[in-house]
Amino acid sequence: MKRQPRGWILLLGVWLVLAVACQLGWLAADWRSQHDGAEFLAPSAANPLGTDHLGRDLLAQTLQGSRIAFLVGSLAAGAAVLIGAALGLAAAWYRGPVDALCNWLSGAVAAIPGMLLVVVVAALLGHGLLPLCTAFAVVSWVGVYRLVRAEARRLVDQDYVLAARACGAPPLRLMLRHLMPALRPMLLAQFSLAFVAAIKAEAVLSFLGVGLAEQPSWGRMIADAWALGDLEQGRWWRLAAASGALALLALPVYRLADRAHEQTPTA
Amino acid sequence: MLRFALHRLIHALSLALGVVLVLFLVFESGLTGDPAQREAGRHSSARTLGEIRLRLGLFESFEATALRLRVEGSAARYFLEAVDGPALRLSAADDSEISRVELAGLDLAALHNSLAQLELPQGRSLWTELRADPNLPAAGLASALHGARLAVDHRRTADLGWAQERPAWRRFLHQSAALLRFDFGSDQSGQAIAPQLWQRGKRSLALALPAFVLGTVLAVAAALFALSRRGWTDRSLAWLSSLMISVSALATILFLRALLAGKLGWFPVAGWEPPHANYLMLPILTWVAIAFWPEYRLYRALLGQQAGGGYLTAARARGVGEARLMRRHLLPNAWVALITQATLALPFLALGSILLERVFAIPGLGSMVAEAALNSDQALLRAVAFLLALVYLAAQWLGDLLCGLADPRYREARA
Amino acid sequence: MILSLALLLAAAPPHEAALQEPQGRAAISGHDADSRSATKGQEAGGRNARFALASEPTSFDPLAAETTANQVIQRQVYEGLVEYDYLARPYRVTPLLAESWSVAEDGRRWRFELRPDALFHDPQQPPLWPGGSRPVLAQDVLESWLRMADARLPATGYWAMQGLIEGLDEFHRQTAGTLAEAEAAMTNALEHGLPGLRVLGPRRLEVRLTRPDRDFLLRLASAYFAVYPAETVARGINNQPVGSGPFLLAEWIPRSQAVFRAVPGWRGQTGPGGRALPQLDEVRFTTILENSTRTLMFRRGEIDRLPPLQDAFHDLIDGRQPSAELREQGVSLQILAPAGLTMIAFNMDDPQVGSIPGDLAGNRRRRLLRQAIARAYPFARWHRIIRNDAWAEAATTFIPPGFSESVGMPSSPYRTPDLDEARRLLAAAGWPGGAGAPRLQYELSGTDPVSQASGEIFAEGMRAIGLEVDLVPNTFAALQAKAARGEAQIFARGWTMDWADPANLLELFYGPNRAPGINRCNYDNPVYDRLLEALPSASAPRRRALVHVMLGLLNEELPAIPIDHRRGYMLVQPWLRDMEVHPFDPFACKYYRIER
Repeated sequence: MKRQPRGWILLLGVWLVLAVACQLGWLAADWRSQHDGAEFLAPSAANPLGTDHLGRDLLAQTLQGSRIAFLVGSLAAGAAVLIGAALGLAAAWYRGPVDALCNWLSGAVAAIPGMLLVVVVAALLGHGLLPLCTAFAVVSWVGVYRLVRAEARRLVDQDYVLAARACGAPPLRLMLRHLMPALRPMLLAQFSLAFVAAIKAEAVLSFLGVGLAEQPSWGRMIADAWALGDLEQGRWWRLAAASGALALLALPVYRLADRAHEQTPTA
Repeated sequence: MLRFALHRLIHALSLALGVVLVLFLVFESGLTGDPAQREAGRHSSARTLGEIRLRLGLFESFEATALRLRVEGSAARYFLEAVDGPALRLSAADDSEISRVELAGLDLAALHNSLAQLELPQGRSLWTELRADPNLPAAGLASALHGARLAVDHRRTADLGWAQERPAWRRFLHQSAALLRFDFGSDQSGQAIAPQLWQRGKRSLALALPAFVLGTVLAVAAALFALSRRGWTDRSLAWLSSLMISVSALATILFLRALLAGKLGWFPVAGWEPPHANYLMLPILTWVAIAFWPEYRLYRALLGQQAGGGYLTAARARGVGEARLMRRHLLPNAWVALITQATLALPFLALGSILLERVFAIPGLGSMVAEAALNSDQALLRAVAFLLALVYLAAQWLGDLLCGLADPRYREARA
Repeated sequence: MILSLALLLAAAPPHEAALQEPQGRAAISGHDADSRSATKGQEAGGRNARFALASEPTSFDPLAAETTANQVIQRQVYEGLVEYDYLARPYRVTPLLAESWSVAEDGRRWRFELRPDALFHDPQQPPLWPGGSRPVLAQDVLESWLRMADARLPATGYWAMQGLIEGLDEFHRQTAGTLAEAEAAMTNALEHGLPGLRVLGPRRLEVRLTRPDRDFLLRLASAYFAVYPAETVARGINNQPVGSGPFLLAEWIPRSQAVFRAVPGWRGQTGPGGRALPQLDEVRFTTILENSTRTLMFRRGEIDRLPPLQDAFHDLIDGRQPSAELREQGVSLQILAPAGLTMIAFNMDDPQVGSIPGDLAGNRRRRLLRQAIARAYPFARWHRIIRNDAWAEAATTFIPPGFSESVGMPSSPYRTPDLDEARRLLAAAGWPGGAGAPRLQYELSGTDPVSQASGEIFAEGMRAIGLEVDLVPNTFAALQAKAARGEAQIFARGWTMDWADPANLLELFYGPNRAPGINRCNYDNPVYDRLLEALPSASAPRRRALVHVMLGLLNEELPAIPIDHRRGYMLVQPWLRDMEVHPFDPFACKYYRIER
């Protein structure tokens, strides 16, 4: 338990490097290339993770999948945290009608089942990275908002903030200078959890047919494996590659979040 | 107490209005495109589009005319018709021709140009007459005119229609009123929505309720177990739980189905026939397998917080055994938190699991939502979202009342 | 014709079936008792058939008979004047509600005599009529057909009767007028009939055609000409169908499930082997969208028949017979002659690939571009990935072989892959090596891997000659909407013939049928249109000549690239007997038997 979580951070770092390398076209750039007659090959030296129904290399797709995962995860989680934090700070700072309005809006959004709302927004906006991230952000800012608002309310009443406020410092600067540092660990934790949740949501939406199309995402790989009856045919490798990669990205995040939680005195 | 109940009820109702607003923004703000076009699906003649718009409340009225289009100008009434040529012909009420313009092409932009060239008496153009927005997007079949919408099918001249567009604020009122009356209208295929919600909701509950209860009981039991053992057991369960929630639910579902229904043949693969319990067992099992781990983490954290309370330390100091400690001290105190947690989860159960219902072909709300999303059936999606939100708010209200009843401080904090 | 509208790549025949394994049934405690009581004392085990639908049935309204799924469920309840002879090949029709008919010398005036023993059965409580049934009359035929032609209603099948019956188009126009005009036209037509559609007696109907039409009876056998009582419309025909067929709707979950039970004491029809029809007590249709789920259900005996698709074809099929494992279980395989066309469709209104009126030079270049695309298309790869190297016949032109019109038909030269020729054509079009050529937009027909694969295959093929392709993601419904608006540029399209006449496929390129009609290529050629209009009344040899000229036009102009003609493969469980797959009536359940 006392071991430093270096291993997990290292693993995340490796993923990030892979994703960036894919984004820059240094790695797995040929994931699209089809090989006639090489369909549904089992893992081998040439294709360490096997091939798919078009004879495309699954290792290349899995690597490309990390790029998509980082894009989806950081865009969606970033937007959710940004909206949630902005509204939460505003509500805590201004109180009164602003607080009431934000509460009302978040209450209304929270009342609609999140999974349903994600599916609806994604379906209405169409296929693509941005619609997907929008859908996720629309739903998941509420959780961030509530935590930020509660914590910020507590902070706003602290002496040092009151003092700064009395000096007439502009609110935005006050928020950034005095509140943000205190909120940062919580925001980071929220971001990382939303990051993983968004990646998982992408998989589900792709499976339901309203997610990404024409992108080598892990969700697509799982959905394809499902639709083409991979498991029933004994072709385990595509499902294993995609869900294994997803788990290897999610696990470090969860473990780090757990550790952070254990170290927080309030827990 | 009555005041408190009333206050919380008003709060819930205001949130319900908020839900209506959010749904309106999601579906009809224009951010998500033209709702009628989105829904038109297979048949998108102007007539069909017009009828969809009428049904969705976008139009005040819609009148499909075979060949002629009535144009209400500020001063007079004209008729616009497509004639052979192809050309557009504008005539007065007595059928005398006022103007005629050849259609340069069949795309919408050309149609717009032709419309703009039509001249009315006194040199005004039809466009000015209708005070049209000159920067019309050329996409889509309907062109937005100021205060009116002209639905033109440029492919089939026989399908012209004339409609009065409903302004956004009136659309919102109309829609809110309909939703609050539980008047959900009908879906794309013309089926009334309300009875489907009820029928399908029941089936979703048949899947979700047992799965939820089983999953929660198991998770709470495991959390208590971990708490009472602490140390190695607790740590490995924590580790295992973070590993298990890292695995995509999809992979779990597919694996369990391939193994239990495909390979071993213990359960039917998919479907819904009497006796329905047969078709529910595997989905319930899968649900529990997926939901157990996140719930375990939730309850472990929740109970862990309770266990940090002074009374437990005191009891432990008195030498009370761990098992007894859990049973007699921890659980009764955590009860309220557990129930609150469960009440708030209940409405979401009505949706079942979209994934599980889809995979196992259970005709509940979840599979309906999955299909409606693919078909962009907005009326259906909106109805499901609104109804479940209402149930959620009602459950929240009841939970508030219970807590308020139990604890006056709660009433003060919320009032 | 809109049988299986558009892209049947993934969901080959969008209908499929399933049955239940005896062991599975026994393992379900109490189920035998249930099914006994449900089927009113039929022998234990139940003569129940179970089928899976690959697309969603939405309504029992015959006006919505456009989709395959709706046709399948509606055909269990409703009957038309005639039906396809179940076993006869080549396909021909036999009497159903009509006991007999006669046709005048001019080939235009038809008289139908209805069977006196045909009854509408209402399963609802309380029923529409005392006793729950009433006879089928000629007036019902009139009313049902008029409803399809009523422009005020969203009928999807009017095209099947458009231009065919005297006075019907006039009636359609009248009902499209003002409300008062429409009502007057309807009242008048209900009372006096139309010039070409008259009730001569309680059970005698006269139809006058605008032209002699050799497809008339075939059209009558389609689902669009179903006969039902007007009383059921007001009560809600979407969910509470009343027909004269051998089955009643017992349970109905819109989009998900439809369960039918045999009508007690149905009028009786003698089927193959002298058995009284129907032979089933219960028929259950369940919507199962994923191929892999249906495959697994068939393997587990939960459904009675299965068209093997991409997901498991080679596992299930061994050459032209079921795999050894399935053969051991007694599963049999039926293979159907092709009755449709899969094509890569071009939108001829599109400025990049189509034909723009007046722009002669541009049209020539774009025609060369289409020809180059056809030459570069990797047919072999499509055949392997999408058709498992098996279940389709390469198309040489736009109609399948096996019909009298197909004898000696001209094949399209561009259908033979030839990369050098493709590059030459592209250069002739002014884009040597693809330099400067427009980026092509290929619209995907769904989110499933098979639809996506068809796009990838196209893109890969085009890359070989230097053309770049954007793959545009769509759901199936979204692509249909786009194509109906004329906004799709290039897309795969499948069409299953609505009746046994290849001219049905030629209507896909008929100018007046342009989008949102069934001519989604928006091919518009007056010469072609005139030839098609001449077809129905042409003599057989002249007809063949006309068809060949039309094919010649299409072969050269290429509003679409003909890919292949799907052959229906159907795996059948051993206990489903007397099941002969019929392409134009895919679930003729009244003839099926279950024997365990």
